[in-house]
Amino acid sequence: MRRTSFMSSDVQTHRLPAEETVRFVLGEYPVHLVSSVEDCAHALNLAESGAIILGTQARLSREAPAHLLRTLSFGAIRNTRLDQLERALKREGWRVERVVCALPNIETARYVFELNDADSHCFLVRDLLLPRQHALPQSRRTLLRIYATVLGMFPRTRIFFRSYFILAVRV
Amino acid sequence: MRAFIEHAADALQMDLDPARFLVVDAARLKRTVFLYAPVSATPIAVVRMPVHWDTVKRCVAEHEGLQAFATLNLSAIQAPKPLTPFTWGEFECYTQQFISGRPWLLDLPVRDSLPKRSHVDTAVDLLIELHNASVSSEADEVSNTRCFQHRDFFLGNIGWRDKTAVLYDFEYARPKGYPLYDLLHFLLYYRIALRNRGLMRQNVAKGEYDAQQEERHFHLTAEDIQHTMVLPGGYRDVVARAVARYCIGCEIALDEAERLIVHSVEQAVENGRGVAGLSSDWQRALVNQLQQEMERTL
Repeated sequence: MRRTSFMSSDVQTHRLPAEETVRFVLGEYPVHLVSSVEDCAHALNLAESGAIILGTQARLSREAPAHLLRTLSFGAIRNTRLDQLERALKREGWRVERVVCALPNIETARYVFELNDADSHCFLVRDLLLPRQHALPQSRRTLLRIYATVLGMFPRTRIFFRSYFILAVRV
Repeated sequence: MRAFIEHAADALQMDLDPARFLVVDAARLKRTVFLYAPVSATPIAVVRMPVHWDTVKRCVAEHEGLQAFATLNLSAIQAPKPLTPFTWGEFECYTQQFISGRPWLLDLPVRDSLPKRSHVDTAVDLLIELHNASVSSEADEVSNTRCFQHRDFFLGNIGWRDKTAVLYDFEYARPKGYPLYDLLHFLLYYRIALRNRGLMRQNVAKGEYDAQQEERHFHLTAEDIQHTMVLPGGYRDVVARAVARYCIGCEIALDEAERLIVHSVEQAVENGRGVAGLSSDWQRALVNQLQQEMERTL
């Protein structure tokens, strides 16, 4: 087993840090949580190694001037324009290597899967989350059931995707 | 991640898709990874990666529980088959087949305050089969343990593939345990699920979760025992009927049933916390009712 301080820590703390999960999935690179253009640029400038992980929530700062980040700040109904982020990174000399979704948010990242992995998305919602819907209030339970139904018909739906970790590699 | 999946494919001798996975960081410092075959829409394997001594023990226990269950060859209940453990870096990875099943928890009543009769009857039937397939004529002299005990048998750990039940989460299982415990666990945690309906009011997605504000309860309390087994009517009727059927099906006499009920509730089900707040013979009314049910059925 892993020889870390976890071994002696109180198991009541329960969960692994989100960064541990993200590094397991994307690799041992520095992780920067960004919520604005300035954060993103700052993180890129700081990156000494050839790759970094950017964690970003869809709801970024409304003051962000860049067009791509204003798109990201739209609510859950609108698909996030990661292709615009990709172009913006490219202008800075970086390439998006991989993108993973982190649910429910980037701080906890309890569920992580590849952005284009519709099967994992469906499995998560319909087999893991939906069975526990009974604990939700009526309105959110209805919303989740509708979402699961929509996923059954349109597996590539990304309505509720808000949080991403992006592995960016210096070109 | 690709390297991990390729390593797993090699260790498990399975063809796995390196581009698809679902990582779940469940509670108790244990990472779970669902893996896919290239042409499967649902996972085919599950890897458990414990990062704490406590969860290592539980992963080992689950692996052994699955191995023991696999020897029973039941017709009405399936469980994932344990696969070959392997090492990834400093992690020991415990793996098992994944069997897709319709989660039974989806059918939890929306409004009723009692378990569905069909759910209880089905659970009794499954557990009778499990008991009779695993019971040993050589019970442990000290503990009297003698049959397979899942120890977390409740709606949330059961799925359905056509008419076959799929049982999950064997981390607490014992190849040699107590009869009746699993049925009581099922009935009591059904009550907890009913009680927690609608209480998840915090918005986890927005990062607003505060454990101090949690309204749901996940552990049994004396109040739950009072509600399900002591107070007349309703839930106690359900419990008495179910336990009576189970005892008849497993050939358990009334006096032993009483000992098992007390033991299960006061020690095992309550995780050693006892049932402070109940009377010293809290089980009396239930056992009397159980006796009537058994006599009526026989």
